[in-house]
Amino acid sequence: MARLDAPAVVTANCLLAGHVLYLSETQEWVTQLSAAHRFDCLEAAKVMAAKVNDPSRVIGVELVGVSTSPGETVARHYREAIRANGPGAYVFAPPIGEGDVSVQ
Amino acid sequence: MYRYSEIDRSFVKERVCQYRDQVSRRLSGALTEDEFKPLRLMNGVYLQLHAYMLRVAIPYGTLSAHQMRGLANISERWDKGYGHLTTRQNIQFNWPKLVDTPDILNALAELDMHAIQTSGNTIRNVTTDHFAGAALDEVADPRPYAEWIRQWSTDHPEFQFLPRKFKIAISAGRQDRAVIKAHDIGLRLVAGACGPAFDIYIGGGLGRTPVVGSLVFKSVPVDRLLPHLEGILTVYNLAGRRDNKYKARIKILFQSMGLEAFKYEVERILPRINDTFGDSSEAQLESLLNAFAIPTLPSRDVGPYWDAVNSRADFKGWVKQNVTPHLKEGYAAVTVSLKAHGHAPGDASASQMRALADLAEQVGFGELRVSHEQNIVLPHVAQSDLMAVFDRLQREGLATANIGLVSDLIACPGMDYCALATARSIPIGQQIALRYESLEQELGPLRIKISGCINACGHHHVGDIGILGLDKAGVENYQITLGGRTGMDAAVGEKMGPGFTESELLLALDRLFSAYLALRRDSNEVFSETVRRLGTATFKSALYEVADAA
Ligand code: HEM
Ligand code: SF4
Repeated sequence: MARLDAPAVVTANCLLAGHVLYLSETQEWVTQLSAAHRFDCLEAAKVMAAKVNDPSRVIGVELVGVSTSPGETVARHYREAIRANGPGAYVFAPPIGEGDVSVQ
Repeated sequence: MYRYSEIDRSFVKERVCQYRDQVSRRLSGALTEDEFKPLRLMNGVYLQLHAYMLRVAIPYGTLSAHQMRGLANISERWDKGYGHLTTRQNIQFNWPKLVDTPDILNALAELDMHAIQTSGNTIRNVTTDHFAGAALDEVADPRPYAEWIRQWSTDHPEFQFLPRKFKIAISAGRQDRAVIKAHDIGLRLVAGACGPAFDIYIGGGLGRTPVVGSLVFKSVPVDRLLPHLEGILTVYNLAGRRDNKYKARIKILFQSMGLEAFKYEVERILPRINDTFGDSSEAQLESLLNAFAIPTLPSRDVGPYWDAVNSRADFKGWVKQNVTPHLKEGYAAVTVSLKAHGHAPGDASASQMRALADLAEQVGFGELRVSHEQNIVLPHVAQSDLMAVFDRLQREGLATANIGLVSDLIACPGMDYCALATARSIPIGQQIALRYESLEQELGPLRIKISGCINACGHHHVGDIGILGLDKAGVENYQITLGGRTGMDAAVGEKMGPGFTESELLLALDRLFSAYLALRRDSNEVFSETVRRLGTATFKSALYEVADAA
């Protein structure tokens, strides 16, 4: 996995149900990446991750990098995009070229 | 079919109670996550990317109609209404909540099922030929032996903490349909001088170091089978590496010791082990042989079947592709494709599972199989019932006539679910299936196998075309291997060169298929034969043609 750079968000999985969680600005666990608090300083994010690591509620607390574009928080790596959006199994990648098979 | 004894039932029930207690201790804080994790894994509960995952054992891929219906109910009550059938002939539920898992395991116990030894460094579910008991080319039904091994290996006190996971497969046909040479131990049932006997292959495996297993013991009589297995496992348990999990599989030990030295070590302890297996295990086998007796298959008029074949092209096409001759005349084995074009390979919805259970009850003597190719088999169907089966399957979206073709591909869960993945595999499979839908009959038999990381759960090493998804600087990258084979002449495919991005991959496959169609001798020469005749280099240049020109 690539080196972690700021900005980052704190993520985990829910102990009871297993689903993906993000830490919001008010230090609550939410299910939407868009509602996650963006840390511009990695050190601050690490301190917060340690603070909210409550094993009776969450597992696998970690930091993940997000995009820097203003206004929206988007995963930087496709693994995190899949964690945030659910299995992409039913969403196809954009069609390639003009689409049709070119087997002769 | 084998039915649980009271011993099986009380063992499984007791494990459910223990597990329920473990979950409640985790939730109360009495157990830490580090303490709890190995306990949940021993009961098949993993944590994946988005949710927990429960892996349920389907011993040697055999299910009753009642069990299939029960799995459908579980998927609706506690999951999202579907299950994923795997190359290890198991079923995985992708969305259970931890708090519900004790109830799910309890529901499984009611069905005479469990998730024990579906994870961890133990002997896993024994897999076998999905046509067992129905195949024309088999020496004997391998499933009684698989069940015998299941009973021996379940909760075996010595083998709960092996250096690494351990997989055993058995096949009994001239053709190997269980990929036995890619297993830690592969067993081949053969006709010995005094009845059935076993050829024992050791040290096969896929993963990051793919190895084809070697024949070590030839024609071992049936009564010596379990002692041999115990001997092999004992040598491995003592000498296998525990310092490095990437070198911990038996294949690494076997290679470092060499065949003769390994064999010598097993033979050295065999006399002692032989003494510990008394007559009771043979008596146990005797009763299993009876339990797996093939149902009485009454003779039926095949006239209506031939009328239907001659009058309906869609039915005829499905029969050609998905129906296999049976050892009893007038009967057939039906492979139900879980690979409708564009669907996630190996997924079955609750309503599909119920339809399959109905069919098994109505025309299939109550029995179903899961194949390692992620399809479902109805092993005993009268030819005169095939038309009704086809019609019902059509209504359920299960009548795709593609067995053995491009779209009948294997794909592991990959990054859509799996926490270890480096790339997605299911969507790649879906795109390939859709892209070549109209061409696949022309392309003929061709096995594509896709894994979402080096662990090779999707068997990519042994596909005619293997696809391995990797992460290259934050972009999914797919590496192609050619020339892999399953069967008695199994071979590990050859890596072709640099990987492709998702969209390049499909264009590379276009070029590969064009080259095959242009180079094959005639339409009878299948893809793997053309690759073997011409060598992989020819196809390598086709794969990279445009990329190089650009
Ligand atoms: C989803 C969670 C899964 C995890 C965490 C997982 C983990 C692994 C790992 C770590 C290996 C490599 C073992 C080694 O080389 O020592 C492996 C191999 C393998 N797994 Fe999985 N796997 C998963 C799902 C599956 C599924 C869904 C299937 C069946 C479709 C499967 C079938 C296999 C097979 C056939 C192999 C290669 C054979 C071998 O053991 O050498 N696994 N798996
Ligand atoms: S091959 Fe890798 S990605 Fe696929 S299921 Fe196995 S561990 Fe997961």
